Amino acid sequence: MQRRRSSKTPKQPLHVHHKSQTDLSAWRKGGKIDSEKSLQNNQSANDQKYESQEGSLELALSYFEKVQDSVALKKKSVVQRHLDVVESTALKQGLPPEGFEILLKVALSGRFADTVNTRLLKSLIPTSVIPENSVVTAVSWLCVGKCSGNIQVLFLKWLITMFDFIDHKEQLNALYGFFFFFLQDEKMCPYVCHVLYLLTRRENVKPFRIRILLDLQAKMGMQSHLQALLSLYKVFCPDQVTITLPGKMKTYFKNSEGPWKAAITAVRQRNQGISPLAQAVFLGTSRPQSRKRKWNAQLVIPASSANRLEAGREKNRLYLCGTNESFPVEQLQTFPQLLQNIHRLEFPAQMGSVLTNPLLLHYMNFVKDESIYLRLHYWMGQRLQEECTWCVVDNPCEEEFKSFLENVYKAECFLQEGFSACEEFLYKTLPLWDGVSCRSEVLKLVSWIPLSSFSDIKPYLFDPLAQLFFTSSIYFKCSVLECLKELLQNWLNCNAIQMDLEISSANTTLCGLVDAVAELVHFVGRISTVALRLENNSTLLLYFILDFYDTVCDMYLKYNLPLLIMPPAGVFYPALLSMDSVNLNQLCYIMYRYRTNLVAAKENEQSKKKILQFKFSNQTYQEYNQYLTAMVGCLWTSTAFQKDIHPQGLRMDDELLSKTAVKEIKNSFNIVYHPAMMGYSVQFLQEICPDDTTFNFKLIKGKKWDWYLEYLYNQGLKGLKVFIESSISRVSQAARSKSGNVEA
Amino acid sequence: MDETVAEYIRRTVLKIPRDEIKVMLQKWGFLSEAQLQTLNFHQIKDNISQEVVQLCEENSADIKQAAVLDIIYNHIYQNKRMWSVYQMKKTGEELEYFDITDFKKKFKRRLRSALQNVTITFKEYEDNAIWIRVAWGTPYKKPNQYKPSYVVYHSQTPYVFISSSVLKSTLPLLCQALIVASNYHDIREMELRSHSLNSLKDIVFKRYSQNFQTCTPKPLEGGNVEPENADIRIVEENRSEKERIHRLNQEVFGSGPQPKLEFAQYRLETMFKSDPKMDVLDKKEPFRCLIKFSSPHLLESLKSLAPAGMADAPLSPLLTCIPHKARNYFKIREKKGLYPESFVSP
Amino acid sequence: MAVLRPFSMLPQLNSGVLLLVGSDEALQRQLAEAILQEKRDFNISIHLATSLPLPSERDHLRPSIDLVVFMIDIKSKYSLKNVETSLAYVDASFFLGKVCFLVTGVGRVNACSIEMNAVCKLGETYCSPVLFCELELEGVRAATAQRLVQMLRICTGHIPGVSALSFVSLMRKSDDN
Repeated sequence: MQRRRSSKTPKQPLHVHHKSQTDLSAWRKGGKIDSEKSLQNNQSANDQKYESQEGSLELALSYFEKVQDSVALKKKSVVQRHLDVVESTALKQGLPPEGFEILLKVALSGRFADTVNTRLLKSLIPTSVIPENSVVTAVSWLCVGKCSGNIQVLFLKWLITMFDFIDHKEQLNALYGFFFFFLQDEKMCPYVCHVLYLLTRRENVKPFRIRILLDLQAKMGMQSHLQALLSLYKVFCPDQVTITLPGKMKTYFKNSEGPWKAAITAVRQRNQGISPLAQAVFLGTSRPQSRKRKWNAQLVIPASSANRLEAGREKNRLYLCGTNESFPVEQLQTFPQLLQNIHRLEFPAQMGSVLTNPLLLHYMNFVKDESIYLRLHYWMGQRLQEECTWCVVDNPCEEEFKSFLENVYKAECFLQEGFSACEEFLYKTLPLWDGVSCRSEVLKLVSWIPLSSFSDIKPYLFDPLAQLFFTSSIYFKCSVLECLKELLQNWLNCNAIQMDLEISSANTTLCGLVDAVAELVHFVGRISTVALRLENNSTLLLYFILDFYDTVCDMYLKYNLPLLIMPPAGVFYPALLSMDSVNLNQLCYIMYRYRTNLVAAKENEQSKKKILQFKFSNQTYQEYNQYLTAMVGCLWTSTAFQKDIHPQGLRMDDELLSKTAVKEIKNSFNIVYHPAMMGYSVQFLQEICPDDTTFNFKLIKGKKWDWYLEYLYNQGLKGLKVFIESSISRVSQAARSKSGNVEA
Repeated sequence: MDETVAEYIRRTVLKIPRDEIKVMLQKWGFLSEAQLQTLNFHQIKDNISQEVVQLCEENSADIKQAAVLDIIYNHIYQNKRMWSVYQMKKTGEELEYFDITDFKKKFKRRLRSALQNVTITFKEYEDNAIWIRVAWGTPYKKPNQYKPSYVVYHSQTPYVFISSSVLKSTLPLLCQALIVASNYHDIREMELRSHSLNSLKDIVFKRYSQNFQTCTPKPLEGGNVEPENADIRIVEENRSEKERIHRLNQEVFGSGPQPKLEFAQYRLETMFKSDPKMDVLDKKEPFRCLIKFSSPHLLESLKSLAPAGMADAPLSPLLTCIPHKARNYFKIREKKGLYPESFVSP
Repeated sequence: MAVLRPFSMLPQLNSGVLLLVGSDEALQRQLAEAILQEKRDFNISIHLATSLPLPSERDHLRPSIDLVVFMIDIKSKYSLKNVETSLAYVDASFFLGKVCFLVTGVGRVNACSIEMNAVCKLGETYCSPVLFCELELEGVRAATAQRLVQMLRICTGHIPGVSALSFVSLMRKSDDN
């Protein structure tokens, strides 16, 4: 693989005419000789198509290489012809790496008129990579100052746009001081700032540079590009940059990619269109997508360093072994590699590529460098804002945005934490969200919103969500409930880990967590109650609600959080009287877990004898007991109408009950007659007395009652089983109910 | 053939879209049909232009012919230029027979007397329009063919449409030549500009459909007001109001398509009026401000403002008077009289 | 001038009447059509008005109105002003859950010419929910239509146990709990 790649890059830049020809053809055939057969066919067909063109490209390049004296465009024909060839080749398939040095030199040396230089610069579109050497040469020409101001600026724009295509940046970084000098040029300053922003490493931040930047800022006022660079410096050396900078800016830099954007996309599409395998040949590798900026959203990281390693193995052996040499991230393929090189890794310029690369995410998690988060924040915030489908009418690529959100979500799952850019984006756009565009992706992102005080985020998050929730379809309601469950679990997980680390020293954070979680659970309780009303106690909805409480009922034991909250009556009773056995079974299981948690809490309280800050209030126990009474009364003792003491419960006067004229009304919700259980009891009757078609449910009692229970358990009603076994002590039929209750 | 002529022809050909080159060369008529046959139009424009230049070389073309080709190009792509309308005035009512040769002769003589180095080219079109192209030089320099002025003159009318050269100083010369050649005494700019020459003509020749109050209003046709697929479940509460807006709009803009203008500009030079007690800004200095409305099709946009519910009907006469007054540049000054809101033409 | 009253007429069986007030008639009509395409179990009739008061000559033809939706385009100050003046012709009892503000144009925030705050304030002042959407997008239009139908269903009393007043108190940004 690597050998093949390396064959594309000649070992030396071009010098003479004939040599350039051989080298170019070597480049062209390189991919062909080594690739697979299918690819070969494809390539050669492709080659023929461009055969003549490449021939003339070679001629053109050699012409530009040799041309010495300044030539006026008027006498053009020759220049014109070569220029046309370069342009059309560049637009069709991009230029080979060898072309850059020649063309950059011509463009920046001021030999031709500006129109020619501009056209040359605009057609510098790479097929694969741009050799670092060529850029270094170009910068030296820039310093000579033979070209006009416009060309200088255009070159810088080109450099910014193509930064990710430059195969490596060691020597370029060595020119840091030269770039820095250009800050003094008023016209170039914004672009130079951008270049420096991309180039800066920790070791580039020097006190004298900070001083110069501050002077510049004092002279030119608060310019966003200067601030961007300063904020990066501040991240690297917070002790030296002492001024306060505005927190988060909308945009640091103007777009520079204008002239090349469309062309790059076109070249990419054309080269990708040939065959998916060929893509690897053209762009070096089939690594995950880089997403530094919008236009190269689909582009692959150029496998630059791979080239270098192979080509320069002999030459640079010593150099490579040096301890200071950083390991090219493009080469990082395996976890052992990561471990071996973890001390000399450096993030790629396109931070976006980190999102889809698990190894880099590992690394990011490990180093916890603030500059990484700053870069990611800047990039992600801008992209989210620019492409948000419901806030930007003219954005047609919903699919692309969706997959971007999906990638962000996956990265968040991997890192087990939300990105701050994402959080800000949600706060800003959720109030404007229609609830339809990118629904599942947005809700997934919501589930990674970091824990914060409920009242702070309520107007941005929970209010708009509730508004959408109440007015949207049942399916939306279910998705929201699911996402809130995920949110709750994420909060609980993150803090369970933190609590382990901090060992209850910081009670304030625990307090905050308990409050926020309690608010969230109450919020879900409220909207669930309303939703059940609106959707006429829909079974599907109830399922999602109970799923949420499945997490809530275990918070004490599973997440070690001193908090238990019972579902509101508006959820409990619809579940208890639900027409569906799955939900009833789930309710039984949840009540069983509540019981286990409460019992454990009680025991802890009594045994440890220490004063706990967080003690479940008696109200929780009381509420649990009320619900339990109602449940046992319903399902078991058929006394719910008398015994239920919950204010919103089932209690009814006998007089009123008799008016309903329903026979055996008291039994109507026990495990035999309950609408959710009726199916089972009918089936059971059919099995025990197949000849009886009268469905005499009264037969189910005594021994048969036990058989029936056994039968239910075998049908998979495990929740019912654990509930009955734990909460109902069956010593004698008479004393069934009371004794099972937990005493508060 | 002069190299500058060759280069000029080459560049003019390059401006033409490839599939129109042939037609345009036929219109030009300088190259014979046989010569045109030899041309290969299925290659890149650069090569076509070279071939055309070669043929012109054979016919030994001079700048006159090159200028005609340029006029043909500009006649077809007239929307690429900005046109401004000028109106000429006579003192008396003497009606004269318009003689085209006389006009040309006088025009040339007048210009040449002031400046020797000019290229003047005429071309007549069927609609009585005379297209004039003038390339300007200086006493010591040959005419710059790349910065010419274009004039479109309709005989029998006092209107001239000028797309002037970037060399601003040439305008007075041009105007003078025009009034002398057409026997007028005075010329003034009408403050009406647009890219669309035809729309300007429509406005000054009053060719666009216009409903005036005097016309008997047609019985309101449902077409515009009522949607075709009226759903009985949707009830329009403000139908009569809509009908009123529609009627008002018809009165002001007429029913046909509007002439195409791209902008209207209002320069305010009025006093700032405030409560005398507040004593702020109570200066005698006018409060200067410039308001510019721009749109790809300004009058159509104005027309749809009220029906789209973006403005009250009827619109301010300041906006609706553009076609009637035949101007889209206004200066609004304090009127001495009672009505401070009405405006005065300069 | 005639003030719009919610209870001046008897409601019709199994039907809901929606009044859309807004100056952009094209969007209004598109929204109305989208609403009628929504699946539902009752009849809907929609009245379109550019502003209030409604012309009195049609008073006798107009059924009792269940929900008034004021449409505001954030790109047009005029639309906000129009709604603000129209509000004066709505009887106070309408604001017990039968009014909603629909803000469109969030897809062109850059062309925004009215302050979001002003709209939210309006909602607070009149105790009515504010919905944000972009009616230019077909998908969003359908979603918005669905939301309005749901509100209308509640306002006409088709959902047992949920009154317009209780619902609107849920929809508003509440800081009471």
